[in-house]
Amino acid sequence: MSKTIAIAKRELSSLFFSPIAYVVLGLFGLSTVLIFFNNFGAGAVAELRPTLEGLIWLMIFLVPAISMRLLSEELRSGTIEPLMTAPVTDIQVIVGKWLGAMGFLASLLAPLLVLLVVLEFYADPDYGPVFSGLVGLLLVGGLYLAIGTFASASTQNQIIAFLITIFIICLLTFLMYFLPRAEFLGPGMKDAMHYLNVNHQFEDFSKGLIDTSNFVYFISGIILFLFFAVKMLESRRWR
Amino acid sequence: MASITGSSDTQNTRRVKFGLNVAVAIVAAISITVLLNWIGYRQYLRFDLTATRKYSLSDQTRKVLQQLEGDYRIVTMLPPGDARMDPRLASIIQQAHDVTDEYARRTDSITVQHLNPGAEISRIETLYESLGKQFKENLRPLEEAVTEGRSVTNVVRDKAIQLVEPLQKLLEHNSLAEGDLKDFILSVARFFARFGPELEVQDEQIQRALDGPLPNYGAAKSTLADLLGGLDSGVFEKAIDYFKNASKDPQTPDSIKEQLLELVARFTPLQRQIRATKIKLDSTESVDDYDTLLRQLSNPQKVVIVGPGQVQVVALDELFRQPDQAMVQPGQIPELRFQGEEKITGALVSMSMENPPLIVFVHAGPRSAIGFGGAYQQVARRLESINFKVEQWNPMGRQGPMGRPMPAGPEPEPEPGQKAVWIVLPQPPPNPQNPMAAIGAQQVPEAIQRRLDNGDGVMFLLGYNPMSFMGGGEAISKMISPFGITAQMDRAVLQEVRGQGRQMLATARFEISQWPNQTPMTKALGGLRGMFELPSPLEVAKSDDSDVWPLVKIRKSRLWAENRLQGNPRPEYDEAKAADSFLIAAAAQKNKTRIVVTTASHNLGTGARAWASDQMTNYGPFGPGTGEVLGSLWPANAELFVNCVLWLTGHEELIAASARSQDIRRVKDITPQAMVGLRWILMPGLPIAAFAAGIGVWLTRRKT
Repeated sequence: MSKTIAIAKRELSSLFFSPIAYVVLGLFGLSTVLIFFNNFGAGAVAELRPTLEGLIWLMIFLVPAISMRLLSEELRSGTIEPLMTAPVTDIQVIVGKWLGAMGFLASLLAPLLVLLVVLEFYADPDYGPVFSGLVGLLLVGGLYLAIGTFASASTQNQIIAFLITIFIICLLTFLMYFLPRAEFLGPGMKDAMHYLNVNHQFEDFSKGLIDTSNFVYFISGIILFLFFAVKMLESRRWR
Repeated sequence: MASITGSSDTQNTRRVKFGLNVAVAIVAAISITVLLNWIGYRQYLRFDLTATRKYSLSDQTRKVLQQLEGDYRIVTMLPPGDARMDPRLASIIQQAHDVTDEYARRTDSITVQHLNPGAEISRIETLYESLGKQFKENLRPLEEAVTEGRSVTNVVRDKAIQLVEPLQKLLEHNSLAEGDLKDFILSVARFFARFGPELEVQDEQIQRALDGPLPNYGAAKSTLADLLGGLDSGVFEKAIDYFKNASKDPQTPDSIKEQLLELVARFTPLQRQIRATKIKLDSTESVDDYDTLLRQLSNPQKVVIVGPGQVQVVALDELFRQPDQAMVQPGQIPELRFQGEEKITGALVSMSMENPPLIVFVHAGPRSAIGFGGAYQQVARRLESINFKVEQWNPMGRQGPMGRPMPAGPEPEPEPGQKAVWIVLPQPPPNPQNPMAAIGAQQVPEAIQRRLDNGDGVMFLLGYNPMSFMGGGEAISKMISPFGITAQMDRAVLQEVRGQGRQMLATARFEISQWPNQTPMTKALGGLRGMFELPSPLEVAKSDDSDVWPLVKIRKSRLWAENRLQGNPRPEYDEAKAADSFLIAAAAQKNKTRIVVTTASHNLGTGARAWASDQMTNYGPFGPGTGEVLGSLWPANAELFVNCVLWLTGHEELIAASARSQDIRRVKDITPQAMVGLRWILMPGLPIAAFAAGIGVWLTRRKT
């Protein structure tokens, strides 16, 4: 576990040492504030739900940008070799990288805390939905990062990793939004596809509901894609 | 030394082995993930973290959903919220979406679909088509009658065109002199000449009514019936009569007579055909349920609940209650009270009822209780909206044409197994001009006693009546006393208040907002305001075989029950008749029979308004008749009436808890300057803070 944490810390440091991180932080902060002010004003409902629902869409492009270099950079520069010969398992490498990226993602959500302070100053928000919404946002981010980690482990090219991640995320969002509306699919298939839609799974969190089925979806999805990433890394040994 | 080829084979074998291993592992991982999700979907826990538990369905709803049989579909057709919408309405719509999603979560019997009425037109039409299919068989006679009607009008049009020429020839005939006959023939000729284009316009109107997934056969039928009726009585009948009379006129030349009779011979079969078709149209019954559905669906914003063989529609404005007007502070924007869950659950329950109860208003007097012009229309409509069958019965007969008294209609009879509730409205005093009334006055208590003995529920709406020993008052007292209730109808509850000019006055108007909570009927009133005028006190006696619960209690200072109001315009406070509180409405149950006794209903021209009549339930901020649209000033009156009927029918599950407490937390007043300031601070502020943090980290790294 300490090796995983060490890798995570190293990854987090390298993310924060890059100037791009602060550009991303700044832009994300600005976007968050813009979305927030779209729904904020005298008489408006004192909640973060619309802001969180807007951020979910933003994360489709933001998170792949964070995850694209996690392993691709190492594969391209050859630093993956020492990493793979070091006394760490592939699982520890993957999970460590993912955790580091999660730490960076969590720091991106700092502007939301500032907005919460504004809301508290001008209203009396219900913190239940705020808390569950933040948990949901982290879970969505965690899933997207897991997908990104897998994509990053698949290729040396960061852009390709970025595109693969976006592609898979779009399958789980846009496709799973429109397909259940198709007339040619049976009700069972429609239900299954509706279930796979990430936005649908996030909806309960944004309302203030904690549903164990949503947790199962996200956690199992994260584990599945990290598993794929591990297998992808392992395959380098015997390819 | 191993050969190179051998080494390569070993490598390939290893690759295949590893590859298979990975493939199997991936399949296993995916299978486990699918299985876990399937289990998680079926077995789950749900925690509502909102302050008011607004996504948690009430126990009542959950019970209803557990017992629901068959497949139901809830389709919301509500517009998505946008900046232009009233934010309160946007909240209501969001809650409607969220609550209906919860329904689908709780039971497999319900599927939920959200449609945008402005954007998803084709999907809405598909839904309407599926709704229309339920009525296909019932609509067939009407469809056939309309089709036949249209075909006959086309035949008439074609024949009318052919008739123009002989009419024209007749007009040009030398023997036809100027005069009324010629003018008439000219008008007929002109009518037939323009009939074709006019009929096309009418036909387009009919076609428009029939276009779409839910054809409006009712509208098409009435347009056709009007058209054919006009042709029959307004054209052909007149023309035939006129020509016949003209042909008998000795002053009409023989050649003209001949032609007129020829025209009559051609007109007559057409008229017969038109008449027969009109009769068929008139005799073809409309499908009331279908027409009701069309009317309800004409509202673009609604929730449609489709059940086995039934459809119910809840309009957007039924999803919320208007705020209590008097509780609104000046300048305050009051929240709308969401009651969508109550309405939707109510609709589900009423749709799943196998034998909806029969509610009969037993009324006397010339004014009807329900229907057009009825005194209790609003509450009757509320009961009809939950699928109850509502009828009225006037055992005293009614006024017929020319003021002659007519005998009463037959007493409504519930079907076998159907629960019935009888609403006994106050009876008028005996009227010597209407002898039937005296017979009817005896019939009411007899009929109601029979119904009570049968186990039906009865609601007595009693009114102050100083001569209550007459006109059936004693008989009604005998019916309610076994339940432990005595109504002192010769007394009126009054309160001494200080009037303008500081003089003391007596008032008989009582506004109530605190309700006893021993019964579901009043628990559900949760702070709603009610108004009761000229009530009379009830006394309750404890009994071993009956239970009595208070429904409305007046608790005010300086109250007394006066029994000498007649000829006493300024009654004075009487300590001997005073009490801290008076009970004016109560519910009772003996064995399985239930009754509700209320006072403050009048039929004596006292000027006071009966508490459940439209005069009270539909009294809004701008006076009578404005309550339905703008919110009743006394919403508790209608709610209490409906809740009592529900209790009497044994359908307590339809008595909803009060509309959810609205804890919508809104942003307080924020000045435009403050908004601008916030934007200026946060929009550049956060990015600048991020960049500053980056620069800080970079500088720190440089130093180290």
